Amino acid sequence: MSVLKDTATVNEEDANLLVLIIDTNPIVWRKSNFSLKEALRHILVFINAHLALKHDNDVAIIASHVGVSKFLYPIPMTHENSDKTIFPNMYQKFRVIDEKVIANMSALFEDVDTPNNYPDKASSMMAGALSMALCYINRITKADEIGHVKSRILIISVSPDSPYQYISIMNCIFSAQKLCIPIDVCKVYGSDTPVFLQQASHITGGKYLKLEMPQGLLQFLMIAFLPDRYNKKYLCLPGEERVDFGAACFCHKKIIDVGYVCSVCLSIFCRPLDECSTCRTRLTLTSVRQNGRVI
Amino acid sequence: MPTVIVAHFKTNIYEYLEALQKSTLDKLYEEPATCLAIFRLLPSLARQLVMSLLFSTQIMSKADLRQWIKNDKESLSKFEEALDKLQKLHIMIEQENKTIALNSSFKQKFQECLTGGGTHQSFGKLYNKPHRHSQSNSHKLPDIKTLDEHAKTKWEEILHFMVGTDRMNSPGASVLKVVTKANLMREKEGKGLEITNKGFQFLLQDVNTQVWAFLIQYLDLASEMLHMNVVEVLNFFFMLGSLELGQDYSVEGLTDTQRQLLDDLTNYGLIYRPKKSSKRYYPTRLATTLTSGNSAIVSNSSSNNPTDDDDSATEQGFIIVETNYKLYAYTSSQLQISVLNLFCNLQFQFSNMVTAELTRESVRKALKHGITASQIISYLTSHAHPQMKKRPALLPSTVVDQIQLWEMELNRLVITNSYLYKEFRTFADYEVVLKHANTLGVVVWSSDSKKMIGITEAGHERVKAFIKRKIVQRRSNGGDTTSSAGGTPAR
Amino acid sequence: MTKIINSNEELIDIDDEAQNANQQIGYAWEEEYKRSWDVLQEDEDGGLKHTVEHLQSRKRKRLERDTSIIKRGIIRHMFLIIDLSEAMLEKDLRPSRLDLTLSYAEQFILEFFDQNPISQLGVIVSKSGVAEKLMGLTGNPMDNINVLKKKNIDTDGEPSLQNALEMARSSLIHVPAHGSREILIIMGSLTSCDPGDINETIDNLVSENIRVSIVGLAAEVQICKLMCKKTKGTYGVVLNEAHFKDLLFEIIPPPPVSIVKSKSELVVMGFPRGVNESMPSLCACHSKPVSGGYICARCNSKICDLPTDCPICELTLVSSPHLARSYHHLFPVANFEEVPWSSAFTTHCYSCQMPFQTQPQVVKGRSNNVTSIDSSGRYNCPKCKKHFCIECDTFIHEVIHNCPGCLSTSENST
Repeated sequence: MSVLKDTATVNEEDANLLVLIIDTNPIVWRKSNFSLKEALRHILVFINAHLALKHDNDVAIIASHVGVSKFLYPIPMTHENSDKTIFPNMYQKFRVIDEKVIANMSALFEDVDTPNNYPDKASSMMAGALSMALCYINRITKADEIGHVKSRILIISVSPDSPYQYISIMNCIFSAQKLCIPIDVCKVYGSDTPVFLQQASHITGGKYLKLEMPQGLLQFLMIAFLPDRYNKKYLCLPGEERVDFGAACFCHKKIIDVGYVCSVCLSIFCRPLDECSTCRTRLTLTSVRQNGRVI
Repeated sequence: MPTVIVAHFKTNIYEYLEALQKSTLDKLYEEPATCLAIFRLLPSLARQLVMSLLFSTQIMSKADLRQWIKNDKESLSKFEEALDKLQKLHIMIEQENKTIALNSSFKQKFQECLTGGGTHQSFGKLYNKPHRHSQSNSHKLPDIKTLDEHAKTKWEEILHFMVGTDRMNSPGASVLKVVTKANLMREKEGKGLEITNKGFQFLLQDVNTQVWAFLIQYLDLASEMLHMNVVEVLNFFFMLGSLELGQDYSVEGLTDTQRQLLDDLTNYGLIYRPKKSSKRYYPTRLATTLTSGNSAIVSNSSSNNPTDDDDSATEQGFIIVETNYKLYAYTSSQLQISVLNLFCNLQFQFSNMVTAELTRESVRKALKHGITASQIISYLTSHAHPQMKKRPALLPSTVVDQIQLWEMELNRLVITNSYLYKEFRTFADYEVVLKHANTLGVVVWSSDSKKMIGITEAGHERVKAFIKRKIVQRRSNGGDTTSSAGGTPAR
Repeated sequence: MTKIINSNEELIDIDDEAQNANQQIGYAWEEEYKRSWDVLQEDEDGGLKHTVEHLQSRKRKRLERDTSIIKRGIIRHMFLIIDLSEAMLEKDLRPSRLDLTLSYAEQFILEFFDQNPISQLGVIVSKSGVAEKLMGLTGNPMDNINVLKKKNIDTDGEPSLQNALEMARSSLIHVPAHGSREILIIMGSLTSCDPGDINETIDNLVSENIRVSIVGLAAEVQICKLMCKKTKGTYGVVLNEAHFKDLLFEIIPPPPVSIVKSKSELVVMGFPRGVNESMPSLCACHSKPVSGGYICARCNSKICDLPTDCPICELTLVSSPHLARSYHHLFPVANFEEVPWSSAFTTHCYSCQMPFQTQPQVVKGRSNNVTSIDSSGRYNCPKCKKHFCIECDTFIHEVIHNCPGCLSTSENST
């Protein structure tokens, strides 16, 4: 096991690392009556609030865009930024992060080629973003020898699930569960329920919350998603309990209740097949067993 | 982990703030940097409560707030503690109609702090005259190493002076004033100053706590003798805590009081100024970590060790304690060695480490100086070598327990004023009284064979009344058994 | 994209080479007093930095994995047979063979169900010539662990290999054909007290397709070796405590299966919805009032826990996370390749943002120092060509099983 340190018990003195994954899918944000720009303003205040809580709190921000996922902060500097003017009206750490996030975000949006080349415009690269987040957390946790840094992930989600990412997202969820990293999910917009992300928060012990009023984003973030793992022990936080464990079939990526499962590779299909499309095994459909379990 | 804060010793800035007038606090909250710094002093749950309310426009009552808290004993007690601290600091105000609101000026300024609005300049004004970029300039920007060096020498000068390692000349007059005011040192008849018990305790604390303790004493001094405005001084301290290390800041925009402060703080090593009259100042690590609450950034330990060239190495501890009470300290600092000498027997000194041993005598010596066992333990904990931190229990439990036992040895006798009841006629009488006294919970001591009971002062009246009642009862029953109860005060 | 290992054998022999390599280390009691400080060498400044770095990089030696997509028997049925003979009281493994076995067995069961969530496991113990089934095949790890935790585990006499095997076999022959049938034996004794000819039992096991793997705690026993060989299982004898665990945990990943003869089936499974009711209602499995639970996707009866078979309509009920836990066995991440300095143009790790070292300028006359920097520290995913650091490389292959690069760029997401 890679992490032998005790990441499960939390103390008041722990530093908190918040890895924020922002779903920046422009197509979905455009449909919403709450613009990404507006949301970003709320999110930046939230980031500042997180940093204000403790001097050694840290943050990493990843954009899950259409066709690409990318770190917005921190990005190792290739050339030292010479513009070191200090703005006397703002705490230096807040300002540095805010500026970098805004700059990198606009750079992301200027590059329109990636999204255009990508076929699935409805969703974002959540699996990639989650994998990066876990790698980053792994690195920080390893570097911190005494188990002082406690990490969590918060996903600001708007896009619907992409069935293509099912396996990879599930892999991320189990890794997070193994490392005791809760994944919180805040669904800002969209009528659908993101089944995968809901499972993510359920399995890892995070919170899933869907906003009815996106304009109140900041207040929701402050109340439900700001508390660190220490404070969560004492707080009743809003959240939805009901979790849908629906699975997506591999053939049409439909969410199904009853499916046909290949006994060799566990691929799920919505109708009986002669040959498994994943592992090419010839399959026979078990007759529905009358005496299910033989004793 | 035991984080020991000596309560009676006003080391903690928090307690100082709590004792301030409500109106002073209100004035303090007008600076966003101060709001942020004070906010970070709060307990974790209190910080969360403030954040939850900060951008809320709803009117909340205490009961509404409680809705957020889980309904178990631990959570509720944490909640009460948080509310209590918030109210004491006047951040949260309970109004007559039972609603709870944030202090309006705190709310506004802290919002500004998070959103970056306003024109308060409370996070320091940069000295940005263009000439500093030109290479030809005579003042080169001091690098972080110079700043650390400055901070270290200045601060250690004070500590060395206290310990009495006589290689330093005595620090400035303002330092002496603070040291005596704080009762860290006292006038020895005839020749100079001598360290007090408080001073010993002071030495064992981490640098951050020391600096704060020092600043608070300075603050008292400043308001009493120099007639400085407490709010301005505090604001300046808190602003220092939010500055960037290695940057130069302009003295412009500072009040007269604050300019006056600069000189003194330069003496303590919190600030570096190239020249006395310079129009700019550089905060050192001592200053920038003031509000971050973590300990000992400028560690006085072995920074002259050639192998650890990065800053992080000096931040870490240097002491290894073994289960056999042997102690290895990787330091060459005379100061650290003198501090260790307070409670250890030093054995050998090498170029980069000393070996020492914790013995009963050495620890008792320290205890007699007024240093407590928990202070020794917390000193060892906070200066433990990183290798020690990898173990589940930082210090060997044998050593921790033994130090505590040595302390308890000194407190074997507890003196309680009490009354001794003796010469009961029969054992039954004795038993009845003892039983009653036990239910009252006032028995200090009792002996069945001697038929004697010791009763606390508080319980004396009630027990006496009980016995009298019994005697009256017996007599009225016609029995002639009279139990005589002698109430004799005893130790 | 699928590569199938064709084999005429029904099960692929997975006896591994690693064991031979381990043999060189020798047994714990043969070990000499180690002078670990002799390895250390000071550099010219008297520091140990280089030696330490070298040791660390060796420790992190990346495991090259077999990443071809092969079939694995993911629905497994396994009996764990534990020897409770007097030989288990030996203290050559600390604290004793028995204590260590029990604590490892517990870890094994947890990890087994973590990696094989829809599999079933049972426990059999053997002492004084008889075998006792402590727990039949069940999908619940806690049932098995609780059985082992009960303190009535005493040792006595000799074990009976044959009785235990027959008992396991009689349970395993009834399991559906799509699942694998396995037996794992932890054997401390060098002898066995059998009522008949064990060779017959072995032949029966072979014909029933039951794979037997044995972890021996004492020394190699011919009949055990033969049995494992015939049934295509693994046989290992422990060298020391850590090796014991390694041998045991090698059994956990699902074994490769060839499909030539074993029946592959399409199994109907239900993915029930979770419910949370304000008023408790009776569940179909225990007839107890419970407020939370799951609703069978076919007959709408209420079940307490997953995975299970619906007691009413006998549909296999699992939650999709149970299935998903096994997927990474099926779609492994390709091994990353080391990037030579010549193409090491990246500045930081793609996934964790750790800055990479830049190529050191080779100073003439000091070429003896180049050894420490002969690798660029970059590893390259063959699909997306992104560069990763060694930490991320191991983390990606051991824990996440996703390549962040492939998942974050549009070209590869088909």
